[in-house]
Amino acid sequence: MLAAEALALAAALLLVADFRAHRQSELLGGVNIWGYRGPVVPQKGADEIRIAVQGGDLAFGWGVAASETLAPNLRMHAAVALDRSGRARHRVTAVNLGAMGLPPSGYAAHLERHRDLRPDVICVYADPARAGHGTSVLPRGDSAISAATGYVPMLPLVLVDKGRSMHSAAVERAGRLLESIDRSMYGLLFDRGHVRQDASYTDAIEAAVRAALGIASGVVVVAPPYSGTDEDAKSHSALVAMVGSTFHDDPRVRFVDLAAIPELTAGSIRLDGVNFSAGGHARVAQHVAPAVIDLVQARVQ
Amino acid sequence: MKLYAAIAALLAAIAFLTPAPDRQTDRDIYEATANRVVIPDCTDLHCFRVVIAWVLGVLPGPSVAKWKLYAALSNAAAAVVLGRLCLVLGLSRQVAAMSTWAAALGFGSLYTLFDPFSSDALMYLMGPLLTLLLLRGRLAAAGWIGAVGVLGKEFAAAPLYIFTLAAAMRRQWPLMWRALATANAVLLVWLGLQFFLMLRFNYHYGDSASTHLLSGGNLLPWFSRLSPRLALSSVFTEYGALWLLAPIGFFLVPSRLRYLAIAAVPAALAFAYVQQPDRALWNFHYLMIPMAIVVVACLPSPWAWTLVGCFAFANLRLGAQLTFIPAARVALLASVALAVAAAIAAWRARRPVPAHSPAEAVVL
Repeated sequence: MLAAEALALAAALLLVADFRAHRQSELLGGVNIWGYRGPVVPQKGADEIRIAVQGGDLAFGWGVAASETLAPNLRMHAAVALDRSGRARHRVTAVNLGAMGLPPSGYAAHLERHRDLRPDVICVYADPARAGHGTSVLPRGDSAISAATGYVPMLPLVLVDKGRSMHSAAVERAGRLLESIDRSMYGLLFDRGHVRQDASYTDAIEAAVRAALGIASGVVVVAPPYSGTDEDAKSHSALVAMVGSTFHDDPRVRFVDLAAIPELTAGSIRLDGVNFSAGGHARVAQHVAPAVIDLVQARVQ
Repeated sequence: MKLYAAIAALLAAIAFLTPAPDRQTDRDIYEATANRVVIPDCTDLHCFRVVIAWVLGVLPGPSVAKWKLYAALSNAAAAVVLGRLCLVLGLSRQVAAMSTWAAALGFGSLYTLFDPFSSDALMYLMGPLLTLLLLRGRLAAAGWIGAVGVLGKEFAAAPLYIFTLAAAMRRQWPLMWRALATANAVLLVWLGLQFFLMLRFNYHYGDSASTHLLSGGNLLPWFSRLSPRLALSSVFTEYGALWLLAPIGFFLVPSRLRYLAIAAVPAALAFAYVQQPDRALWNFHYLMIPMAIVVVACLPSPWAWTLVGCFAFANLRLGAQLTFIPAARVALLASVALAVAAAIAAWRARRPVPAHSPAEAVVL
């Protein structure tokens, strides 16, 4: 009995440490216990309008704080737009469901996973077709704990990062050990071995938009700015064509083409040539916000 | 049972005479828990202390009356069980009787009548009750009761660990391992509740100073809010004259109580650190009071009872905050003077308390 209790207490201790790791990182570069950026949002209130942003690296906002990404910027624009005298009072909140390294084929499933957040408007903010997804993934898709419970462990990643910054091989090894145990358990319990056939870029985004329409009353599809290679241009054109042909008549869907806005290709608003700086996200929000506000106003009327 | 009824009636009467607190209490949180069972996204430490609110929530009647009655009944039970614990520890009937009344009319007990919206009254019962059950060897019963108790407040696990440590100090290893298993099980219940409420309903401790373990807990903010004199006087009024007597009584009481008292020190320090020290320390009244009363019993009986009476009278003002009671200073000074006399009497006697056989077989 004591051995079982010791195990349970050790697990509880790990969970406490993991809570702490989340608390330290969720406002910065990490995710909260349910795997999205920023603190866990409270249950949705009756007077609340909730905006969600789904996507990969661009939506996640690599390199900036959770409060500097697109989602909170959109919240601010929508809150200002709704704050008009004579109108019923609404509280506007936003959640950043972007996941680092998540390919477009994962957007729909990711949205379904967070269905209980009950967003009113969802921005499907796609990464460019050839974005560097897969190099670093957050939240990890191969976590047994996450697959079983929805809880996203953060301690392994924080230990690895701390180990590196402290030059402590032991701390880093502890983090890697925890991660590999979790990954092995996933392999044993959840990975059925079949290789998923990735959908094409446009098919994946179409699936994401359909999933979003099943959850929210309005969807904004945001086509990303791209670097200008032929392949990127082709994917972008395909995306524009898909939205035009599939959702053209749907009043619940808006389309924002960031590639058509020259200022967003400027290197001065990028951190590493790809990901936006805090100023870059704010600039993107200025262009996406009108479509979001349009849908939000339709929702509250 | 008659004694319990008498004490409960007295405490209930006092409870209904107490004025309403003139400051912000935790009433809103407990009433919301009673009414709604769960408060999603709650960011208050008290949201995690659910069991009393849940039980009182299903009972009919006005909220304040229910909570006051709960405090009176709990404290009366704590006092009676403490009397029984004294006998089981091998103390005399006189010590048991005086301890009962000192517990019933002590600062902590009476304060919970003034501000009943807390789990404290139940915790004051948990200490003596769990220790009594453990001494009788009824570890499973103690475990089950402790498991319910921790749904009210984390302190309910402490008496089990204190007993475990005391058993270890007495080198009673089989008993120690069994007690440790029981204590751990209760701790796991508490942890389970915390995790369940956090993960399922997004509960948080908020910015509670109690969770700032590496930056002074609740102790440093509490000290910074009060002047040193006020802080000292707050801690002193908690036990009043008993502070002077308990250290002397420590050397006079039967060894099993002494071991329990030593084993309680780490827990007392920890709770004084994470909670408001003046209130946290009353949780350990079930060890402090018998040690102090053993010395009181060295006085002639009328004087001994006078000391207990003065102690109780002072607490009517300090704890229950009854405004029609004259200032507590005179009663407090009288009890301190009598305590000094009791200490001198005990020093003159210079012998342990006459060893009574425990009222029943005990395992420690």
